[in-house]
Amino acid sequence: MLRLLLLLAAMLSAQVRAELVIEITDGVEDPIPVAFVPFRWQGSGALPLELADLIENNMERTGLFVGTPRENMLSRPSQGDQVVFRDWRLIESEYLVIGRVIPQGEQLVVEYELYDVFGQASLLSERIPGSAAQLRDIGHFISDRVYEQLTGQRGIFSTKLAYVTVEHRTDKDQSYRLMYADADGARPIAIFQSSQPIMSPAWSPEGQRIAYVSYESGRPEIYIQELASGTKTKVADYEGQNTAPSFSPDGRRLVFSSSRDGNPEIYIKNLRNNRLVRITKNAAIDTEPRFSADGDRILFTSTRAGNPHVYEYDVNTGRSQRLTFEGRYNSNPTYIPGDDQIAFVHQFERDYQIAVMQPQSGALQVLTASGFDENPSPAPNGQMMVYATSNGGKGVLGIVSVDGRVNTLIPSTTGDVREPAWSPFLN
Amino acid sequence: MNQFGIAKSAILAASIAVLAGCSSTMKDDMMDSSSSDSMSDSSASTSSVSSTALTAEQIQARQDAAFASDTLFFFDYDQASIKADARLSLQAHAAYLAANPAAMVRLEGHADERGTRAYNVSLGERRANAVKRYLIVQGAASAQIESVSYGEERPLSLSQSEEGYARNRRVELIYK
Repeated sequence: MLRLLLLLAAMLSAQVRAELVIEITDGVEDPIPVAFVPFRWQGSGALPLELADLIENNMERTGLFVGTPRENMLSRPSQGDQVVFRDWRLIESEYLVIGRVIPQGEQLVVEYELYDVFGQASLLSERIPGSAAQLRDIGHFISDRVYEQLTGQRGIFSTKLAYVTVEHRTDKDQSYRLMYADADGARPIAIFQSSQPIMSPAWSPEGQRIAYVSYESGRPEIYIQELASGTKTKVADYEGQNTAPSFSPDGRRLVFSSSRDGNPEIYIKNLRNNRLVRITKNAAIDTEPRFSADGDRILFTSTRAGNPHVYEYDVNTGRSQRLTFEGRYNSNPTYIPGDDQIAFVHQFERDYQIAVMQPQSGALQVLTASGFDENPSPAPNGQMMVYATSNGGKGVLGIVSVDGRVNTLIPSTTGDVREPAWSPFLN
Repeated sequence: MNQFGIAKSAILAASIAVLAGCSSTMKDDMMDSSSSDSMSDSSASTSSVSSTALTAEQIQARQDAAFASDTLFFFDYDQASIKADARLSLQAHAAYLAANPAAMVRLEGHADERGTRAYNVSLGERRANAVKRYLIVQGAASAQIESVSYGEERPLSLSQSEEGYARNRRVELIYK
């Protein structure tokens, strides 16, 4: 993965860099206090990045943890034999993260430790070799390790986001960019730009390709782009619209909506032999298909009952079943990894919000409240979802925990941000 | 609209005027339709003022040109049916296309920002298809019409208000 990142960075270093800034709007009531002591740098000059800040920001963004204010710290250990647990008990830090960065010629080594303050025990102690240019990746790696140790869930800090930004000058003069960024919005890179609309980015299961819709030919067609090489292949240019691609879990098939036969229907294309199978047939709109993790089912939006609702197609029986009945508009569904709930856009009165629902019971929970929320995309650990929302009339990304307790905004500095897609695990 | 587009509209309006003048069948249709309550205030006042100076055919030609220069057709929320007040103008466009087989038109379907993006592409496509079907029923050839949906990607209004949304739920008719 590091190699891929470096390639991308080298290829696209001249591209736009508009950093997203995280803003926590709702958190849990009692987040766990953790002390992140600034890492000791044993070389000369300044390091490009303070690892303790990066890790602290990552952990706080989950809403589950809160960093101990630096000014309250009674000591600043950087290795185990300097730790006095009493210093941390006094200021009620439950866990302690310390570390140091050691130069090794042109390279460096990061060593870090995680302690349980009240149990007075070392929970993690690791040594990570790398370079100054890789410090951010190392910081995300440490965040993943600490998060997993403290929650039992795999961390998502080393994953990526794809999303679309638009600078809107007039209805005919717009600049679209397909962006690729860290899960915290840092290091954004435009991997494709166009004056014509770009829509619906979707990750391949191995995280090396992104499918999306581009209007560069004058109408909506589906492309797959390889991240490492930038090579782009057109995969659906049928007459009418070709929209809403989603990869099968084996990465060999693509499901999407096309009106090639006169009406928006859902098709599965085998990417090896180009065989096309149509799975819906009716006079209604059928769109926004999404494969389940086992590839046996496909969620999609259909207006076959009049208003848009969420349906599930069973790949083995060829039958579709309606899943949503509450409200008059439910669309853009997605499965949530490791969870039996699905997420979708739910209209309540005049507002569009992100909701989750347990299909068996039909129990529906609305997670967001801006009224302009759409495009839920779950993180690969199933704990959080990124979604598109509106803040002051401008499109921004939000991150909400699947239980709805934590909600974070990622305001952008330029343009409208929309249609986020959270990558799978990349290592 | 760029200068080229303006020139096209002028040619179109002139052609419609000529066409209306020499096609009695169409004129009759138009006369029937123009008695409906969908006539705009401006065309009503034109006919009252010009009743002394212009012949009925000239009035009709002017009205047809006015209808044909109308290239934006609006829709209700989550709906793809053509509104009654769009019919006169669409009939004029269909007549122009029927009389000029070499003319080509592009229909661009649009949705407001509410609802999800891919769904709105389908909704915009339905709107464009509704206009296309109507033009064909009224005499245009299928090969003269291409259509594309932009969904909610190209709003005319950026206002998050009912008025703004209403302007964005539209089909644009563009001669090529």
